[in-house]
Amino acid sequence: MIWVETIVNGLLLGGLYALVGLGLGFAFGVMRIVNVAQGDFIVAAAFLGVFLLPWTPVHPLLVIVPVAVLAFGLGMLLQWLLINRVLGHDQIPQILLTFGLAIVLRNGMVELFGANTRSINVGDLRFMGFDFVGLKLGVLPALILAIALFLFATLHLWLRKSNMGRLIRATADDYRIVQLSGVDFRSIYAVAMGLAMALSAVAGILLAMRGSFTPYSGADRLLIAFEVVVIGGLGSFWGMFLGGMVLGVTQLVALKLDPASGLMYGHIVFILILIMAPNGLAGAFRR
Amino acid sequence: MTGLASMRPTLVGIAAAFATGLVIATPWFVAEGNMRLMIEIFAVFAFAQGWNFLAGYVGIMSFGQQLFIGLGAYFLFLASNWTGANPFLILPLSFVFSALFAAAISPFVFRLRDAYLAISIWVVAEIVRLFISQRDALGSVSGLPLVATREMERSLVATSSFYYAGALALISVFGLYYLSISRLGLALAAVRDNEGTASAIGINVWWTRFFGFVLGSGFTGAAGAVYYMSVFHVEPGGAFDPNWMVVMLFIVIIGGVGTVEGPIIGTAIYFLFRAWFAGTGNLYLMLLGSAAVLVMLISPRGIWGVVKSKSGVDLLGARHASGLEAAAKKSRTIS
Repeated sequence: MIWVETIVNGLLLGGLYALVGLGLGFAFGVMRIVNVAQGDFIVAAAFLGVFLLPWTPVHPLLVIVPVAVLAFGLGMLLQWLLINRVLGHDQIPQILLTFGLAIVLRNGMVELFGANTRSINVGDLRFMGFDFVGLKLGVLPALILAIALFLFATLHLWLRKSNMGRLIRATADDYRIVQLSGVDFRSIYAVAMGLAMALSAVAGILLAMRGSFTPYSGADRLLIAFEVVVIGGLGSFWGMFLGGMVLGVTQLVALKLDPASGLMYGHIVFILILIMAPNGLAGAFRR
Repeated sequence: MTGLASMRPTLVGIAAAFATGLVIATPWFVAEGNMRLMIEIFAVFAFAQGWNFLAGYVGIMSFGQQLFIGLGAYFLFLASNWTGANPFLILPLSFVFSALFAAAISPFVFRLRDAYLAISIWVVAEIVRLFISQRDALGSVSGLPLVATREMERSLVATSSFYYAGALALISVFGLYYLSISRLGLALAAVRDNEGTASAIGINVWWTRFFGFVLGSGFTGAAGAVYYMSVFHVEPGGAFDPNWMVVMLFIVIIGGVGTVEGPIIGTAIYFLFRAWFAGTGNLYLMLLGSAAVLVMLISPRGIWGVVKSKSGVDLLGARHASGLEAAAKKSRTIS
């Protein structure tokens, strides 16, 4: 029974991991851009959450909203001011630019906030539990999975149905053709990056509520996001969700067997999947 | 083609012989303390050139080259401690070991491209770091000493390390130059610039990239072994530190990706920065990061790239437009 509980908890964690990957995967899917600073932005969002928490009315969980809005604005600015300037056939300038940004952000956070471990306090919610067919589960992890599912589904529907979603999909298909209809792909890119950052920010806040973080957590967050996207099959929407689940379950099972292993077994599973299914899980099923 | 241009390989050969003589003579003129600094400078320069070779010549960007620094160092320490052999004799095997490791991981990391390839090598580095950190036989988190050097004479150790580091630095300038004008170098440049065209003219794209990756990573491994041999101690947190990547990227980007000369400038700037901002810790790393961002915004070709195009000065004459140069010319335009 303890193993079933571990696996179910892994699935709950996996939903959050999927959300960590969603921002990175979405940006890649639309713009072929990999924001290497995503992990550090996720941590920055958590710091923002810590500081906005005292002013958050009703419930601490709602701190997600202002942080996501700020992250959206920041993402648009990032795209307009920096990334749009280095776009080109070659990926290297954009990747190196965001890598530099990641270094600045990480060390800036150490400088400003110190290297202490922190987390976002959500009060009693953190310790509440419930019984589910004989399994003892936490309310917060279940709530987080629900939020992740909701965001995946909303983004999916919004991309399908809304006008902006249609523009984003068209831009993703061919950013040159879109311009024939009088659309500046750079603006669309800015909106897409804003969305990617907002999603990542929500993931960052939720990670900080579930566990803890330091200014150095960005690297691990980026690797998780990256693994989720690759396992999911580069751009497959629900593949990413599956990727998150695989990583979440692996990590919790591994920590039960080998408590000091950290993310090592998650990384190993990622490499194994890369060997066996080069196109990711979604790719393996599609064929 | 002027006479000078066709004579260039010979002239570079004379320069190489002169530089080699300089390195050989150095231990007689330079104090031991300064020699240690020079070992460090040479080793860091070799790390940077290893990455420059991959990114600028092979067209493989990696964010995980600290993997090979650590592997080379750990291979040297473990092999020497276990067999009791002289580390200076084992050192060349660090190249072989790192190269073999690179060969073993390339079949699956090569399935990914660009940033994804770069990060997947970083993932492998994390696996190895975490694996070593948990094994007492491998020294665990606190690391390993290099036992064999304890009984050796200090000045002998310093001199030998210096010669190895000097050899690496010479190879990373002149070896890279001769490689870039060789058949293999031209094949690498063709693959980097356009895989379709390269395979159309009969170059095996996969094997060329594979060979470049193995060569560059083996070289980084040898440099890692030299670096840690000269400090007598290695631990996983330091050897597999992603900040090595920050240093390599800074040096290569500032100097100019895909040029032989650029990273020499980059290394000089890096060590000057380090001397000036010693003790400021994070501020200094922030400076390195923002410099990388600025170079990408202003001129992705780096200092040497700009000097070369503005003045027409081209010391080694190994001109191969890198991807960055091409990107600088044609940024995304409305078609």
